[in-house]
Amino acid sequence: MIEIRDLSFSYGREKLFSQLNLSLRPGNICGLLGKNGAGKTTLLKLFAGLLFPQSGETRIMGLRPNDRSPVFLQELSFLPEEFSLPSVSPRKYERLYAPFYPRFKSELFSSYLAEFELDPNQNLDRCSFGQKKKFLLAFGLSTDCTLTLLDEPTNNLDIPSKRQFRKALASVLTEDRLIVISTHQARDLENLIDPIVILDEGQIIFNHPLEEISNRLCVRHQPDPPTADEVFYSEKTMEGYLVVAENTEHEETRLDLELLFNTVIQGRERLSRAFHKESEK
Amino acid sequence: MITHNIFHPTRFYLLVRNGVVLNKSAILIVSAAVGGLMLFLSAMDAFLGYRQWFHQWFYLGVLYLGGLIVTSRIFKEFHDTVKGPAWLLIPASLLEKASSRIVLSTMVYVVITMLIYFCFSLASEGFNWLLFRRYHSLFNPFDPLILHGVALYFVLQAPLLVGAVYFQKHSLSKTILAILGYTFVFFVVVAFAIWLIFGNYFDGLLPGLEALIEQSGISDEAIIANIERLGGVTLWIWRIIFWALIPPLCWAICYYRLKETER
Repeated sequence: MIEIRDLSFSYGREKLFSQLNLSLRPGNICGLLGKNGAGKTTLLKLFAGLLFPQSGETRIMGLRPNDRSPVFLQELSFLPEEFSLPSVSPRKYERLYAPFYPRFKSELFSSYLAEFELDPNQNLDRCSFGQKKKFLLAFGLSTDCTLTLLDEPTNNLDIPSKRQFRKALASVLTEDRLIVISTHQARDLENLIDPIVILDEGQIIFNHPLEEISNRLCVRHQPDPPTADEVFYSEKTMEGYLVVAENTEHEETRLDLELLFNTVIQGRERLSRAFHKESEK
Repeated sequence: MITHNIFHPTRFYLLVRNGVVLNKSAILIVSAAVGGLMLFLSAMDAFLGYRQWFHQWFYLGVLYLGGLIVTSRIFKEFHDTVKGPAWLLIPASLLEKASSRIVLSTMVYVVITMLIYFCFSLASEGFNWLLFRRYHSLFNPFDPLILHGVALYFVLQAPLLVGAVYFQKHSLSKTILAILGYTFVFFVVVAFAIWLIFGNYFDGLLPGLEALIEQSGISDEAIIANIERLGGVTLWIWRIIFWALIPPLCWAICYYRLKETER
């Protein structure tokens, strides 16, 4: 679905990506994690064809995003972090923009509006930012497009809305569909995103499915401080130390996304070697 | 499949339709304001004096003044850092997007202003007749003066479209300044080049030329006729450039500017 080869991109003289490679398969909700300024939004914009790489090749569904061809755009739904909507009701918005999407499902759109508690006839000007975001998500999911890009989708959503968002997203995933979510609110998307892609210093430093992660890493509490070479990551807690180590005993433990992120960022060299070693076996 | 990706009439229609529908309120407000002004001025004209071609000239004023404003704002959405990406991601080709904006600021704008103006001119002359027992000629969109004015508008607004797609803010003033600046620089460079290349040559050429004309026995009338013919050809070339080349060239620049833009 998404194939990136040796992509380089910079803002002026400031290099962001250098020789970046990434491959994402359909049938997944991919979580794109990274620190502020790591390039998550830029990468999504490169996927969408809003930015052009300086070198390298990007192919999405076999098409070049920079061409911004209708065939490509019909299969793309992009919910940016910042957006602006025209002063119309959701129903009118549907009448204006749904005809551009050949597989748009009006009934599904109505059901999402109901699910998100949005009035189809209320002007979007009078909606809160969170409501507008839910509206755009409802519209995007109703287009039945193959690739959905979501940039910080849970920002500004209240607690019930986050639950509605997770439910809607989980319900639309099919084998031929890929959803990429860029976020630093890792907790909001726990149990939803798989695989996890982590971006740092212009490189994809981690790209693995959850199953593989839980096979290779385990989490445990211990009272004494661990030695640096026996664990990938540790943090002090009230009870002692929470450590992430190699899963040599094939334990079934739950590694939350924040802990995984910190582990990858701090122990990236060793972790990379461990995952690489395992894949070679 | 290829043509479907480049231009599809349905998508083009949808873009034009959306452009009109989303600006409906602005069209109605501006129409009401301009229509009100026209009703007042038309009544004043009917009362104080009487100009038969009032509507023709008033409409041309509206067409050009409104057209400049419409054209300078036609790519406003595209320049917006938040709205721009959404516009670029509408599933339509860039040719459809660019041409829809060009059509909106030319043909659609002209047709809408003509229709609205015609309705207001009917109302205006109805009032004039009731109040003063005299009225102007009704606004006729097919009047040769109007048709020529519309054609001239299509040409003159094309460079402003280029300005609108290049400049994010104050595109109208920046475009006029850019055109004046480039024209000045162009003439300075051409004059300098001519002086540099032919300066010395011209010093000795004219006396020789006079002698040559005397020797050849060409009459002054024949020389004037040749100059007139040359002038006629130059005028035709200029007409072709003005009417047939400037608009498509400007439209093509708009298209390529949109194509290479990142957001």
